[in-house]
Amino acid sequence: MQTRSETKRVMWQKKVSFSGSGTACSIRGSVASAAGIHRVWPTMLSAGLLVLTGIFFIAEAGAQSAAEKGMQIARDAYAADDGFENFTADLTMLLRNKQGQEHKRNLRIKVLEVKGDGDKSLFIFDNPRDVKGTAMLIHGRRDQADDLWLYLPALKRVKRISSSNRSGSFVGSEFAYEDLGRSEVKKFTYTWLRDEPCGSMSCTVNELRPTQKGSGYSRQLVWRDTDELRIWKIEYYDRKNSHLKTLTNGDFKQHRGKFWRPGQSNMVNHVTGKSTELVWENYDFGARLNKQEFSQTGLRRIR
Amino acid sequence: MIPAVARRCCLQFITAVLAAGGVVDGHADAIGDWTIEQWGTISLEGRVFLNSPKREGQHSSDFSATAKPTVYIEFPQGSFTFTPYFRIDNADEKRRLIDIQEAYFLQFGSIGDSAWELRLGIDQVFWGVAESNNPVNIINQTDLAGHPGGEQKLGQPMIHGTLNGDWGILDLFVLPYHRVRTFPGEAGRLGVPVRSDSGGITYETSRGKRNIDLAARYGHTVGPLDFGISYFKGTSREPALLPDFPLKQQYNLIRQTGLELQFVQDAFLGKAELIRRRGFSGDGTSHSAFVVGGEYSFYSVLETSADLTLYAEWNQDDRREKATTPLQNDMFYAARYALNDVDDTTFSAALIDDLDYSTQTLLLEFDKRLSDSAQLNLELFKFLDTDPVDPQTGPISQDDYVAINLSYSF
Repeated sequence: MQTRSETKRVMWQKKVSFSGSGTACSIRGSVASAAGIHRVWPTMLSAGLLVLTGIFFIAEAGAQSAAEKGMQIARDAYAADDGFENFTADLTMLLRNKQGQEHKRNLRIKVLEVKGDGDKSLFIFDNPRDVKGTAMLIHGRRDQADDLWLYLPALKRVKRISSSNRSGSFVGSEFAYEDLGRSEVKKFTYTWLRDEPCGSMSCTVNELRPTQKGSGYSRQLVWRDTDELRIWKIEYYDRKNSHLKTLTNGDFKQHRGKFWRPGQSNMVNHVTGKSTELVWENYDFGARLNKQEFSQTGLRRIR
Repeated sequence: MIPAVARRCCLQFITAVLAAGGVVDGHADAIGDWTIEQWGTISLEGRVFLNSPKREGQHSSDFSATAKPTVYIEFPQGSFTFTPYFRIDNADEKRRLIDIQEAYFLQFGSIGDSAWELRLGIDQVFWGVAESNNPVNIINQTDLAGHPGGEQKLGQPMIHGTLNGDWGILDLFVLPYHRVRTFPGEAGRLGVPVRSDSGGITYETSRGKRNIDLAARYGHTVGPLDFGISYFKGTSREPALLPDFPLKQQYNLIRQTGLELQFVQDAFLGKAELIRRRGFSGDGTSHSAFVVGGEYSFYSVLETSADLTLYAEWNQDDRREKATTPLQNDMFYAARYALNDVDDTTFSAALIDDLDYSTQTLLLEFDKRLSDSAQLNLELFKFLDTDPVDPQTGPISQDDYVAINLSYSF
C-alpha cells in the first residue's frame, strides 16, 4: 500500500514539474535557439513553432493560474483567520455506527495562535469517564511534522508520541488526526477547479493534495463560499482515489466580528456507513491563554 | 460472552454502589469564581493463581475492591486536589490500604515569559520514558502489594516548585517524609514475606522517616529529542531486604543521578533511561542500571483502523546476580494491538527474556470499555520457564495468575 501511494506521489510530482515553469521554459528556450541558428528554415515552420510555443504558453498559463488561484484561496482563508490569538471551546462528538448506535465523547479544546509557525492545540477529555483528564498537546509545525504529547492522568505521565499517524482515527471517530486543526498552507498543493452555486451562495471548489507523507488521502475537494471563505464541505479521497468521506459544516457564527466557526460538523464515512457529528459550544475568543499552558507542565496541570 | 456477563455484573455493581453511596456522580459546581468538581474510579478485581503455592498458608485466589475518588476545587490562580485511595482484600491483610494519593494546593503564575508552579501537600510525580521499567522514577514509593508491576504508587508529601520557559522545565522538590514500601503479606502472593512492623524497618539516618530528601529535574525538548536529567538525595524508596525470616526492610541514604532520553522519528520512538545510585546497600558502593530500546507503530493495519505497536527494551543492572530487581539483564519484547474502536479495545502481549538465566515471563492483557463509565481489564502473568538458580524470580516462580478487573468511573 505504501509503495503504491509513493508511486502516486512521484507521478504527481512529475506532473507538477511538467506544468511548472522551469522545465517548460527550458524546453521552449532550446526550441527557440535551434530555430535561431537554422535561419534557412522556411517561414512556415517558424510560424508553426510560434503557434506551438503559443499553445504551450497558454496551456502553462492556464495550469499555473489554477494552481495559483487554488493557493491564493488557501492563503486568503488562512489570512482571514490570522490574529484570532486564541480560543477555547467545548466539543461534543457523537459517534454513530451503521445501525444507528451512538457513543458520546466530550472534550475541551484550547488553541493558541503562533506567529510564523503552526498553532498550538490542547484537547482535554471529559467523557468517557475512564479517560477523564487525558489530554493531547499538539505543537503544529508549518514545514515539518507536528510535535505531539499525551498526558495520562492515572499515571501522571506525559508521553511524547509520534505524529506520523496522521491518517489514524481520532478517538475512534470518523475524523483522522489530519482532519483536525487549521491546515497549514505549505502542507498541500492546490488546484482551483471551479466556482459553483451552493445554496444561496457561490462556492469555490479547490483541490488539495498533501505534500507530506503519511496522509490517508490522495486528495481533498474543499468547498468554500466566495464571500467569507468558510468551509462548507470537504470530500476526502483515499489513497486509491475512491471517495472515502464527506465533511459538511453548518451553523456558522462569527466571533469578535471576524472569525467564522461552525457550530456543527458532520463527517460521513461512505465505506463503513459510520458517521461522527461534532457540536461546538461555548466558543470563547477572549480567553487569556498563556503559551506556557501549551507545554508539558501545562499538561500536568490539566484536570 | 464475557462482555455480556461483565455488563450485567457491572450494572448490578453500579446499582449497588449508587444505592450505597448515594453521592457517586461525577459533576462540577460553580460558586462565584470557585469550581468544585468530583470524579473517580471504583474497581473490583479477582485473581486466581494457577499453581499450588510455594509456602504453606498462601491463598490460591483473592478478591479485592478499590475506590479512588477525587475532589478538585479550583479558585483564581490556584486549586486544591484531594484523592484518597481505599483497597480491601479478602485474602491478604497486607493488601488492605488507606492512602492519600493526592492532597495538595497548587498555585501558578508567570514571570515574564516563564511560568512558575508551586505544589504543597501530597502528590504523585512520574519520571521516565520506557515501558518495561522506569529506574529514574524515584519520587513516590511503590505500592508493591497493590500490583506486582510496580506502577502503583503511594502519595508523597512534598513541596514542589516548577519553572517553565523556552529554556526547558526545572522541577525542585523538598520531600519531608518517607513512605514505607508495601509488600504482600505472609498469606499473600506474589512475593516473600517482608516485615512491615516498626521493628522490621530500619533507617540509616537517625531522623528515620522524617529525613528531608531533596530532588531536582531539568527537562527540555529539542526538535525530535526529549531529555531529562534528575538528581535525588535522601532515603531510598527501595529497601535493602535484610536476610531474616520474614525479611526486614533497611532504608539507606542514597544519591541517585538519572538520565532520560527519547527520540521520535516518524513512527519510531527511541528511549533510554540510565541511573547511577550510590549508597543503596549501605557500604558506600555505587551501582548503575539502564533500560534502552524503542517502539515502532504500524498504523491502519490491514486497512482497518487498528494500530500495532512493537516494543523491544533491554534492561540491565550492573550488580547482576546481586541485583534487587528481576530485570538485572533482561530483554522485554512486546506487542500492542489497539483496535481504535469506540470501546478502545486493546490486546497486549509481552515476553520478558532473562539473558543470564533461562527464566521467561509472559504477560497478556486485554482492555475494553463496556459502557461510557465501565471498563474491563483481563491480565495473565505466567512463567514460561523458571530457572532454579535465578535468585530474583525463585520466590515467585509458583505465582502465575489470571486477573479480571471491572472498573466503574464517575
